[in-house]
Amino acid sequence: MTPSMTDESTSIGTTGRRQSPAGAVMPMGVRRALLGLLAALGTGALYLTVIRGEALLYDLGALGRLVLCL
Amino acid sequence: MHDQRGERDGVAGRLSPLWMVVLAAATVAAISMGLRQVVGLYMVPVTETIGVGRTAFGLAIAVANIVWGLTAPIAGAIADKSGTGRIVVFGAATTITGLLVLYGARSEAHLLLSGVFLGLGVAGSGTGAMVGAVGRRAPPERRTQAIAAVGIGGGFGMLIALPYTHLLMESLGWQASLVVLAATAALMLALAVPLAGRPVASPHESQRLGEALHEAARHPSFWLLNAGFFVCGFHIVFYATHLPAFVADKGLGPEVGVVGLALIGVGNLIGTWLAGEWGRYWPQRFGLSLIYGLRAVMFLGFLSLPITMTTVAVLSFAFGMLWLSTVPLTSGLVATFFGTKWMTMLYGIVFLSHQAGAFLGAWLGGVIFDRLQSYDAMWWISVALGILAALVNVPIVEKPVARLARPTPSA
Repeated sequence: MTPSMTDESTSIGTTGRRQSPAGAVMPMGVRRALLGLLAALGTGALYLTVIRGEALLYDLGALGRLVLCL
Repeated sequence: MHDQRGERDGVAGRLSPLWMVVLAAATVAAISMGLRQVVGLYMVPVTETIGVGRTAFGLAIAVANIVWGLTAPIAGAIADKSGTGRIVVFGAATTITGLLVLYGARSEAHLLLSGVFLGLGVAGSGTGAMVGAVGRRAPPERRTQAIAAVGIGGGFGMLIALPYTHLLMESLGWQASLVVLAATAALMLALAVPLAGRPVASPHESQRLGEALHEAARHPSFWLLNAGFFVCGFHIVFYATHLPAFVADKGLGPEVGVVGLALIGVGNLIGTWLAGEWGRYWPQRFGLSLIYGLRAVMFLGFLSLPITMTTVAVLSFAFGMLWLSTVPLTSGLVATFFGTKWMTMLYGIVFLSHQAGAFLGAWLGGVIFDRLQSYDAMWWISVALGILAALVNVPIVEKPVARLARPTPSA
C-alpha cells in the first residue's frame, strides 16, 4: 500500500527499543504480489465498467433519486 | 510536533509490523466501503421479489447512513479503548448479519433491520474506524501518509465493488450473490488479527473519554475542522447523487455519467495519495483550504463551461482528486490537536458533521431541482460553501493542546 513507508525511528512501547527497518517495510515479495493483485482487480473492474457501465448506472440511478448514496 | 512513540496498538512483544497494520486496515476499509457501495444495486430485485415499494428500500439505505454517522464516534471510542481488532470483528459480524437479513427479507421491517446492521457494520469497519489503529502506529511525520493508504484502500474497494457485484448478481442471482458478499465480509474477521491489541497510552495521553470530549468541545480549531468537513459531505453527496440526473438534463447520454463516476473513483485514489504526501511536508490546514478552494473553482466550471463529454470527464476527474483527499488531512489534524489516544472517536465526531452535510446536500439538491427545474442554484451554493470551507480552515491552530505540549513525565 505504501511502498515508501520506511521509518527507522519507529519504536515500541516505552522501552526505547527500536523496531527493525525490516519490520516497517513491506517485504518485496508481498509488495509485488499485492501490486499484481491490485492491477488484476483494477483492470477487471475497468473492463466490466466499460462493457456494463450503462446497465450499472441504470440500476444505481433508480436508487439515486430516492436516497443519498455517498 | 509532539512525540507519541509511547502509544502503540497491541501488546508489547506481539506487535504486527507497521506495513501489516496498514495493509490490514486498508483491506478492511476496501471490503467495508465496497460492500456498502453495492447495496443500492439490490433495490430493484429485492423490492420486486418481496413486493414492497422502493421507498422502503431507500429508507433502509438512509437508515444505514444515519446509523453509520451516529455510531461512528461510539465505535471509535471502543476502538480507542479496547483496540481496533475488536471493533473490526463487530463491524464484520454486523455487516454479515445485515447482508443475510437482506437475503431473507420478507417485509419492509426486514429491510430497515438490514439497514441498521449495515450501518453498524460500516461504522465498525469503514475507513473512519481504521484511522486510530494506523495513526497510533505510524510516526507523526508519516501519519497522514499511512492514513491516506487506508483511504486509498477504501476508495479502491468502492471503485471495484460495483462492477464485480453487478456481474455476480447476473451470474448467480441476487440472493446467491448476497451470500458471496457475506463471505467476503467474513474475510474482515481474519484481518482483525493484525489490528488486535489494546492501545497503550503514553504517560501524557492518559485521558478519560469524558475529558477528551470536554477538551475537544472547548477547542475552537476542532469546531472549524467540523465546519469544513460538513461542507465536504455536502459537496460529495450532492455531486455523486445528482451527477447522473444533471448529465441527462443537459441532453448527454448515460455513458457520460458512467465515465464521470468512474473518473471520480480513479481521481480519488490519486488525490488521496497526494493528500497523504502533502501532510508530510506542509501544514495540513492549508491542504484542506486548497482542496475546498479548488472544489469551488471546479463547481464554477460547471456553471460557466459548456457541458460536454469532455468537460464532465475533466471536471469529474478533478472532483475525484478532491473527493476523499480530505480524510487523511482532517484525521491528521485531529491527532495533531489531541494526540492519538481518542483519535478514532474524535474523528467519528467530525465524521458525524460530514454526514449531516451529506444529508443536506442530497436533500437540498432534490428540493432545489424540483422547485427551479435547474441545478444552477445548487452549484452556486456549492461554490459559496467551498470558499467558506477554504476560509474556515486557515485560522486553525495546527499544534497540540497544552496537555500534550507539557514535558513527558519520567518514563
